[in-house]
Amino acid sequence: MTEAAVTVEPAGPVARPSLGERIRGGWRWLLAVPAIIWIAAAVIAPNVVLLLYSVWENQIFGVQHNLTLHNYETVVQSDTVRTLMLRSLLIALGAATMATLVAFPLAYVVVRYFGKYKFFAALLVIVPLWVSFLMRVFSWKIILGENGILNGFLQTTGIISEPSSVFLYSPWAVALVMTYVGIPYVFLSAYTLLDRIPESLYEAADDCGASQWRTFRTVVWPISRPAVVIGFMLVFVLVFGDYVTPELVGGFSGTMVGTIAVQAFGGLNNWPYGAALAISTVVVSLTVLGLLSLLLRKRYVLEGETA
Amino acid sequence: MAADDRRRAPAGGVATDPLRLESVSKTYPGTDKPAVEGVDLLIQPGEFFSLLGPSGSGKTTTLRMIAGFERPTAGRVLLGDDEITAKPPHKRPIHTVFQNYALFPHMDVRQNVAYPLRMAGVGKAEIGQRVDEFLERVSVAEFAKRMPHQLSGGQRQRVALARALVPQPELVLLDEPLGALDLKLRQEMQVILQHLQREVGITFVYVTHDQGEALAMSDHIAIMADGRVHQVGQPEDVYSRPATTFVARFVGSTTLLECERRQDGRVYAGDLPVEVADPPPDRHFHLSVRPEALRLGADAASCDNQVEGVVEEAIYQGSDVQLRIRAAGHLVKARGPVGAFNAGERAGVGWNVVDAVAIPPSDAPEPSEDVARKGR
Repeated sequence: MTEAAVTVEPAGPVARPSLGERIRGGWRWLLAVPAIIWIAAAVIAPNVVLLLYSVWENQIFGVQHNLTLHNYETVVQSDTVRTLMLRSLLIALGAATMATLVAFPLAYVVVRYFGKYKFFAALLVIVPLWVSFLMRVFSWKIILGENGILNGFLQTTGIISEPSSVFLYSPWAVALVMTYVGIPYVFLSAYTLLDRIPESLYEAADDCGASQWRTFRTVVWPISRPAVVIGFMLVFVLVFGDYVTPELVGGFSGTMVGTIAVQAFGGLNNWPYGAALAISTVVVSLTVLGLLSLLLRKRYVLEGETA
Repeated sequence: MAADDRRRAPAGGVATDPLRLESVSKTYPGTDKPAVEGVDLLIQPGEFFSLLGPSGSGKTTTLRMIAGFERPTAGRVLLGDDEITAKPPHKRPIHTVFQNYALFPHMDVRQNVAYPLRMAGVGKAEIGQRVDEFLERVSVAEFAKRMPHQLSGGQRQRVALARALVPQPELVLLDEPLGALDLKLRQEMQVILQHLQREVGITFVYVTHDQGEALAMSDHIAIMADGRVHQVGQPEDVYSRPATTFVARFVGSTTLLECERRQDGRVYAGDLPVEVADPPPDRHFHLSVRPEALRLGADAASCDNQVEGVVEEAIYQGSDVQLRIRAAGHLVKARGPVGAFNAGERAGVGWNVVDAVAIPPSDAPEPSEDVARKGR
């Protein structure tokens, strides 16, 4: 037998390669094109424009396309910006912390003790996300305002005699409302992870002599920490750049950095300054996220995950 | 107890108290049928005790009640003189090797094994020393820094074993620990487990559906079906003197002949008159004849009971041939030398009365044929 006889000739017509096989040729990158276009148009382009504006010169008759760092100098030297930046940072970190402190234990309790109703309970927690952000914030005016529910309650119970205005228009009001807004995000993030920790791990910890609290500290928390940090980050980002909530419930003392950026683009009609403010906000925000991401490091693989 | 002669003196043994289950029952909420019903067990310190049964027999539920993961609905669990029925798992000197290992995914091998010692508040230096010792014992010392997901099934198994053994509990419970391993690894692990158990002198309670495994490793076996214990005994006991027809069928292979005592005082299996060594007083009972008790061909001629049959099936098994022989209306399971008997040929079948066991009817409900086979 000659060597050629070893070659197997395909019987009948050659089957046409499937779509997947054809794409696997040199054309696979085509699949990425829609995503690339989207990222270029919706993420990169606007930010490049923003970056350009921040280094252009603002003059009475409009924006001059001369490169300058003047806008950033103004941002860095402004006491107002520094105060607002710091306040925004504190409010954002505070709201994210509070939301985490409420949502994580809540998610834990729902996953562990709600049995077959846990999905329903989870739905109840995240249902506010279906309501417009503006509505959710505005509803707090009704609760905290001078003619609001809180004042009404305190007056009828006789704790105060006159309606008080201290509940609304303060950094505390902003932090409170943003905590409320942030809770579903941390909850969702924590719930999905906690739900995947198998029952046998709780049993193993119990079996090894760990009380419930120590099981939580040594097993549940270390495993769920990355998910909780992700939730924390979401809330932080959401709050830090927000200007709607301060506008609605913050009053003057609750003004945040986003507010003056909006003013720069709007009333002041100083786009380059607004752009520099926006970029500065992003830089501060990214720095915080960078630090937080140190808590994200994860060496383990849960059941059902691929390494 | 007759078992004492078999028990090995444990080297540096730590198990001192027998574990006792007294009429323990468990009915899960939302179900009518109890998962475990009226189980009485006595497990001696330092022994290798197996709970053997098909799936759904209640063996895992029994184990979980010993561990403390489930509360019995009735009955008591005692360790020595202490009643531990209601104690939570972390307060029992009992550790479990879980079926899916349940290693902590965020801890490396060393941290996993150190965990129970950490929880017990053992000093750092001692933890290090004991963890090293046990990692060595189960030969995973070289993987000490690996994470669980970087280990093979067999390695995880051994880490789980080390984690259960390192606090030197009174009892270690093993829930089908070899279930997920391939045959070669299973056999290897069986030997490791047995040696380890003897070395550390800790009582092992081993749940399995594999009768071969239970026979090979145990000092005592409790055979369970439908939530009840059918028989407790040494491997030889349960194999050679099965208490119920279920045990006879589940442990090893056997031919069960339905027997009836007729007016003339003789015992018949169908129409076949049989000699029985010491027949029970009951009119109806079963006779269990193991394949190795059956003599075939010329050898059958000298037996107390003889019958002529036809080979229906001859399945080659390597060292011998598994035979199914139709004789006097019964299907008899036998084993013969390779090549001697072929399908369709006639063959004489015989056995001596001492090699067959009469099984009186029992009040334990007989699990279906299906259940009895499931464990195979």
